[in-house]
Amino acid sequence: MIEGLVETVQGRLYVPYRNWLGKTASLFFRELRDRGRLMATRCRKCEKVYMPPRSICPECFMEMDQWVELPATGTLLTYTVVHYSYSDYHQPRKAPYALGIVRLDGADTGLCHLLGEVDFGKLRVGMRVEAVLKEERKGNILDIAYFRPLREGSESTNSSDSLSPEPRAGDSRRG
Amino acid sequence: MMDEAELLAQERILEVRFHWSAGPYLGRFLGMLKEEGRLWVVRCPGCKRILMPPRIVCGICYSETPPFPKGWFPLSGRGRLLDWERVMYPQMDPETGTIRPEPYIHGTFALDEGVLFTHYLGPEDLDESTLREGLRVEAVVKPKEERVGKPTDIRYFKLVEEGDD
Repeated sequence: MIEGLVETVQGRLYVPYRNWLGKTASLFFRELRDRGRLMATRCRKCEKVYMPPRSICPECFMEMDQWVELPATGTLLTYTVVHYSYSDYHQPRKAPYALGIVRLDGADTGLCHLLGEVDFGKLRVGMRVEAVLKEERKGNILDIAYFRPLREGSESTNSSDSLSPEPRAGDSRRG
Repeated sequence: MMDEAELLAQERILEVRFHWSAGPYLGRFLGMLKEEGRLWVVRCPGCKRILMPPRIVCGICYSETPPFPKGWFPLSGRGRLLDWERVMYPQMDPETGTIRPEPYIHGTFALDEGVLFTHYLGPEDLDESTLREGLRVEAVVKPKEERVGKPTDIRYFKLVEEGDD
């Protein structure tokens, strides 16, 4: 640093705002908050089940008014480990943390969330995971604390797996 | 199922931290303010006007100005009150992202060297009814250990008695 010379000027924007969720996301978060249920929407035409729910099927452009409850279990489609801290406001926790896209059993799409109670080195595409809900829920996506690996033998035999076969690692089934 | 149901909203915060390169001219202006507590400016070699803040090319005659320190000199920090306004509207400070305390008085000063400068007019308990155009003003600079190389290294301009400076 040269004396008498400023090289860079620091700045910061800080904008608090309120985001209205609309009817579909409001129902999803109400059910999650009040009953701890994971609700998805289903397209009547192509029968795809969307988690997180959407109001319009992006493929058929059908308005979706069918709701289905999904189990807390699912399959890890992909993951990443975040080592970079850039904001206390935009990151769910201090780095390092793992993020994954989880396809809940019975869903056709993936839900992005935190992965917890797992060594980063033991994460594998295709591993079975389950949602851990918070005790005190506020109506946002962090009412799900994180997804953790499903323990061996804890899968019930009559889980919804039979309805929706688990894709193999590398399966081209679209999320 | 969802008619007349509670619509939810989420409170969020958008935070963006950024920094930009001040370059050799503005960087020197801010750096010398930090070092010396004075406003260093450059005179345009073409039209002879003072460029405040200093810049590489004169915006009027497009002459190139010499790099520091040739042709540069510090302003006295003294002048006359030209205009002022009481700001009642809360605004975000782009340096910190937080809301500036209001109200405050914002003044335009005709410095003795013949350039205009705008800054806070202080101190905070300044009686606005005593203000009139042409009063003598002087920059109140923070002590060196508090200066960080920003325009706010000048705390505010204060009124001084005619002939006091």
